[in-house]
Parts: sequence; structure tokens; C-alpha cells
Amino acid sequence: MTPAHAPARTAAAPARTTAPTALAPVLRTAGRVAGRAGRAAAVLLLVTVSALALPHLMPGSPALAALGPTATPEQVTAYEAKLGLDDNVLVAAWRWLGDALHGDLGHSLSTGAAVTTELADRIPVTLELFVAAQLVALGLALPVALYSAWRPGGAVDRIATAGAFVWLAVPGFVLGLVLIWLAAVQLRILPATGWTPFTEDPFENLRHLVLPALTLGLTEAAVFARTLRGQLIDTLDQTYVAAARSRGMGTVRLLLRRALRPSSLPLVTLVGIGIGMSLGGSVLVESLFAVPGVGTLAATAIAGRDFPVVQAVVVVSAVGVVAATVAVDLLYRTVDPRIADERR
Amino acid sequence: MKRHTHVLASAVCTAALALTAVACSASDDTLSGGAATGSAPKDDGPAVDGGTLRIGLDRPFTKLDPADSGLTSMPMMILANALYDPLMANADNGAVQPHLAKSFTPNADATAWTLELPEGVTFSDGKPLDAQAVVDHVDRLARPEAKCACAIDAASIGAMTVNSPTSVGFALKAPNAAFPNLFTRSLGYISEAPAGPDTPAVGSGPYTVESVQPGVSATLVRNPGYRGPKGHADKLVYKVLPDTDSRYQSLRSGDADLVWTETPAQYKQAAGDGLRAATGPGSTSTVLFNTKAAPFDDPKVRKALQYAVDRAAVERVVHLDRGRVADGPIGSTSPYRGGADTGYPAHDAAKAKALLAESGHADLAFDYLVDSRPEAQQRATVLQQMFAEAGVRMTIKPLDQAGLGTAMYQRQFQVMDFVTSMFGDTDTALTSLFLPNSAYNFTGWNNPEAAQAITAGHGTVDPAQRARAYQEAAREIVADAPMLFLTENPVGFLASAKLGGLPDVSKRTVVSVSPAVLWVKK
Repeated sequence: MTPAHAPARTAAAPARTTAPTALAPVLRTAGRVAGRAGRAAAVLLLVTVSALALPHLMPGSPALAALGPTATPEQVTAYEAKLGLDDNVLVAAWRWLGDALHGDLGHSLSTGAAVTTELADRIPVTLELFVAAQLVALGLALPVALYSAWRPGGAVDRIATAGAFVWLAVPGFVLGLVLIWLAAVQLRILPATGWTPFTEDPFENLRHLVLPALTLGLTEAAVFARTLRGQLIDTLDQTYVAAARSRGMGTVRLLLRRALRPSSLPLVTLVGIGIGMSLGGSVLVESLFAVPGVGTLAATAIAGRDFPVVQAVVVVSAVGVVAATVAVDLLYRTVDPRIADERR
Repeated sequence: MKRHTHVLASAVCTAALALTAVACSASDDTLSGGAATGSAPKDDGPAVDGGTLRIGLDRPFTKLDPADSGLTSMPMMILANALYDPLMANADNGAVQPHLAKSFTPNADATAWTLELPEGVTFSDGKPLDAQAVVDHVDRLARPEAKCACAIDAASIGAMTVNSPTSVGFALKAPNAAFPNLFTRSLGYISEAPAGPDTPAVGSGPYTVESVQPGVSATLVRNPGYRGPKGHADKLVYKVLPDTDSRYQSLRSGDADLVWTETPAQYKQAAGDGLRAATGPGSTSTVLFNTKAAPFDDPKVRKALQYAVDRAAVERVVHLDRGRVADGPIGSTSPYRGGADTGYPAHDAAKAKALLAESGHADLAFDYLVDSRPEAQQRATVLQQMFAEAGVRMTIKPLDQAGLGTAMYQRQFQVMDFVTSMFGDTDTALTSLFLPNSAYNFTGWNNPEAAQAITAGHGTVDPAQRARAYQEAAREIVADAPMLFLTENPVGFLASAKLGGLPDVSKRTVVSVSPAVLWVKK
């Protein structure tokens, strides 16, 4: 039962959709960006409120930590008021965000220094460590996964599988201590602990970077290799791969040009998640190797109940995670254009 | 001959210190453990000048200022002593001797003290370190905004008077025969006020700051205007190495020449790894009871737990036979020790059970707060087993240091692990931990007889009377058991074989060494 005027509507449709067709991609992109920005803002707001609630949730008074045991209750109360601890958490979050947007993250309770300055000193160190760890992880995982997937069940695959499980079972700090013992104590080729900024001495910077980057990277390499191997085996079973093979495409080319890219999505996701996880991992690894990054700053601040620093580290980390998530999302479309097509 | 002279000089000095605190030997001697006068380890050979000495610190420092109590904690004094010459310094067997000070003498009832300074001392920026500088320093640290834990000590001073450029008079609010002891750390590290929040406080020590990254590292160079013998090393590089294991491995790998440690297993391992140790009985492991709340407001319950603990077993298991069994608040090397028996009860699980039954707590159960250090956890586990033998259920509740500190200061605990260096100075330990009005009376214990004895001892300049009074207080403390005394623990330094001048600190209850006396062999 088609209505009598239906053909007219159908006929008119092309004329009415001309303008939307031209604007559609822009509107869709704008909608996606707005949606993501909204979600990111909501996440950051939630994290900020949670971070500002920390002094109320954690045992240990920041006022007592700063003023010492001789502080009178009046002094403690006055200090808590100065820190804004007597404010409603939402009010404190609103004020903190307002200051943060003006580049003011407060001052450290222990050193009195601006938190932005402390973070500016530490973030490059942690970023350098993170990038180096990812390079280690990907540099090891890619060839191992490619070869294992090409010859599943072969000697390399069996050794890599066993090695990955052992790696995953060893806690990071144990791996770090083993590496220190081997490279610094026995072979004496690398320093056990400490840090030299790249701007001061690039070679020494590299020497100090190797062991912490290996400690972080080796564990991730095992995860990356296992994930990528499984995905590659699935991809290599696809008919287009068989077709390429039948057309005489070489093994290396086939793996790199045809199989790797569509198999990389989980890997991209893992690297993105790794950015979020890197703070947790870096607390341990930076403390072990005495690397002056955000991790050691966070550990010291937590131990000293230096809440302005803890709050800033938490929120800045959250910003990093949100940015990484958006970047991963955008990278999906580059790695696999079908995703963009599916969403249209 | 030189060694004998030093021993004789020390004996004379100790006798003199019984009456007053006067300079008896080279000022560097106290912080060098004798190394400055030639009693350093014989195998070290002649001192070597030059080079860089690398020191691994076990904890971060927030700022280079004596107002920061973290900087003046025992493991950090190797850094503080480089920058600030203390007025007084801890010597062997709990004695306190003048270091920067020329003398520190009391009036007859120890209510007024006179500090004499040597002439011509300057800060590293060339400004004079005179009597006014001492008054300014004490004033600054006493103010609440300085946030110095030493403010409570400064509060005992009624008035300060500049008698002359080299003489300061202190009028105290109450008699204190151990007043100079307050000048071995923050109050004694005379400094100029920092120019800003990121600026170190200028001192008069053998080294001065070249660069610093708070919480990470500090590089020091020689202070060209230092009044005493110049430091052997050209440069000192301090790095914060918070992880115990990697700090030890840094020493083995040659990345550090000297590190601080309190881990018993590392002392044992060090000899096998070709490392050297310099340790003293600088900390005491104890257990605090909250005596303000049931069931530990009942002395019988506390006494029962005293009987339940086999302290020798704790020492063997946790400290691997490298510590000593503790038997009260007067340490085994304290000048007030004497030969008196504190009456600390021997391990007797049956007696513990009987006392618990008698007090109506046969099924005693409690939470035990402890930090996460391996030796603390090990001690907690050992105690848990011992208490279980007496029918007591102890639940171990691990907390981080800040949480533990809050619980202790706010007395929000039943029983907790307490490892402290306070007993290295008997006067401070007794007045801080056991007087009812003290901010450090964590147990809330109030015993009029003990308080009277402590106050009497604290107020007399007669060392024999003071010792008797303190011993009486110690017996009260042991009898009433507001805390359990477990072990005296070795703490101190591990050094690579390259390090020279490492002093013998085995009789030091406060392990305080000046890095100026150390050298790196070429």
C-alpha cells in the first residue's frame, strides 16, 4: 500500500539531499569530534573529582605530614582550610580546574615548588622511557610474531611461546634486578641506576635508558608478540592472502604488505592501553633504577601525602590516556579503512 | 702511639663531658669516628685527595635546609654534615661532643647554658657565622612556617642572648642537663635562611652546593672557605636510590661508592661481595601499645605479651645474629646504662597465658600495624607466631609510612611496629616517649613515678644522679610495659673496596659521619 504521493517524494529526494550530501562528511566528523570531546571532558572531570577526593579517602593527613606531630589541632585545621580540604569536593574540583586552565596546578607541600615546574622536569623523562620501552617491545615482538605466524608450531614459535609465558610470569622488578645483576654487576657494561639527561650527555643518557627500557619493554614484548601472532595466523588464512601467494608474492612481502597491516589493530590497541598503564609500570621501574620521572615523583608524593602533586600527576596521566585513546581511534582508520566505512 | 693517645684523649674527654660539654679533640674527630686523627681502618693506606665520591641515599630529600627533618634523619646526615657543621656531634657510647662549638656549659641547675663559638667562622658565602647567626637560625626553625620537627625542642628555650660575637646565652623554661644534645641535628646545623623555596640554606660545612634536583640528586663541591681540614674528594655526588636491592647492586657495580642500608641480609652478603660495612647500634625495634584504649590499658595484658615474646629468637630470625637483644629504654652503649638489671622478663608462654586469663582476656585478638619493609613484615610474622603460642590472635595490617605515621601520631592503633633511632640518645628518648605531656608519647602512657624520675634525671647536671634516675625510670617502663623492646639493630654504611677513611662507628648509637674524611682510592 504505497501512498499516492510516494513517487513525488522519491523523485524530490535527490534535490533535497544535495546539500546534506556535500556537508555530510563534515557534519559526521564534527559530530564525532564533539562526541569524543564530550566523553573526554566527562572522563577528565570524573578523574579530577576523584583525585581531589584523595585526601579525604587515603589514610594519613596531609596537614599532619606537613606540619609534623607538634602541630596543634588549630594549626592542623588552619592548614587544612588553606589546602581547601574543608571544601566540598565538587567546589574544590571546579576551582582546581579553573586554576589548571590558567597553568596553575598548585604548589608542592613538601618542596614549595610549583607543581607545573616539577611535572615539566619529569614528564620528558617518563616519555623518553615510555617511547624507548615501546621501541624495545615492538622491535622484539614484530619479527618474532611474524616468523611464528608464518611457521606456527615450528621451533621458533615453540621457543617464543615458552619464552613469552616465562616473561609474563616474571614480575617487572625481578626482571629489572636480574638485568642489573647481569649488565651492571657481572658484565659492567651499563650503569645499575641513575639518569643523565639527553641534553647533558646523549651517550650517557642512552646508557642509563637501556636497562629500564628493557625492563618495561620485554614484558610488553611478550604480550605484543602473543597477540600479534594469533591475529596474523587468522589473517594468513584469509583467501586474499592465499590468492596473493598463488600469484607468486614473496613471503616477506606477503607478511609485511598483506598480513601485517590488517593484523595490527589489537597491537595498536595494546600500545594505546600501554600509555595508560605506563604510569603504574613506571612507578616501579623508575624507583628501581632511580629514574627521575613522573613515577618516582608520584611515589614520593604519595609517601609524603603531597596531595597537590598526587592530584596533578593523576589528572595529567588521565589527559595522556584520553589523548592516547583518541589517537588510537584515529589510527584505526588509517590502519584499516574498513572501520571508517563501517561507521558511515 | 697515635692510637693510644686518641684512646686516652677520648677517656679524658668522656670524663669531662660528664660535667660539661667542652671541645676536647679535633673538631672533625667526632664525625670521622677518629679517622681524622689516624684511627681509620689500617688497610686504607694514605688518604687520597681528589676525585668524585658517589653516595647513594635511601630516601628522597625535599630541600637542602636543616628545617627539613628528612635531611637531618640519620641516613641523611652524610649529606647534612657536608653542608652544615653541627654545633655538637654524637660520639661513641651515646656521648655528645662539641663540633663547631667551642664549648657549651650549664649553670648549676642546668636552666641556663652558654655556647661559645670559635672566632672567624664564616658561612660558605663568606658571611660571618657568629652568635647572632646562631640566634637567627634557632629563631627561624622555631617558627611554625619553618615546619621543623625541632620546633618542640626550640620551644624549651625561654630566651636567647647574644653575649658577644662568639657567645650565646640560652635561658631555659625548665632544667635540661642534656640541652646540648638538641644541637646535633636541625638546631645545631647553623644556616642562613634560604633565599627562596628552591634555594638551599647556606651552611658552613666542608662542601657547598653546585647543583641540586630535590628528590633526585645533589652535587657538592669543596667549600673553599671551610675552617677545618679540606674534604678529600673534590666533588660529592648524592643520588637518591630508593630501592634497597638496586641500591646495593649500584654499590657492587661501582655506580656508587657508599650507600646507607638497614637491611640485615645485606650486611651478611656484603662481606662475600667484597664490600665493607660500617655499622653501629643506631636503631631499636619496639612494639607500641595504645595504653589509652582497652584491652591495652590493662598492664597485665601488656605484661602478658612481654612474656610471650622470645626476643633472642626475633634477633636471630630478623637480624641474623647481627643485632642485640634490647631490654629497655637505656641502650646497651648508653652512658646511663650502668650495671643495673632492668628486670625485663624472659620468654615464658605459660606465664603469658596465665596473665591473660587473670586479666579476663584469654581470647585476646588485636590488629598489628606495620609498614611494608621486608624485615618489618618478617618481625610481624615472628611475633604473630609467638603470640599464637600464648593463645593470642594477631592480625597483621600493613600500611605505608604516611598511614603508619598518622595512626601513630593520632593514636589510632591497638598495637604497632615501631623502629626508631630515638634510643640512641637516652635523654631524648625518655623525655619524648614517656613523659605524659610530650607530643611523642605515642602510647599515651602516664606513670607518675617514671615521669618524676625522668624529670629529675633531666634536670641534674650530676651524671651519676642522672644515671640513677634514668635507671629507675627504665625499671618502671619495663615493669609497666607501655611498649615492648625487641632488638638493637645495626644500621649504617656499606662501601666499595675503593673507599678509604670509612670510620669505625660500631659504638655509635647515632651513626653520623662527615663525607669530608672519606676518599676514593685511585
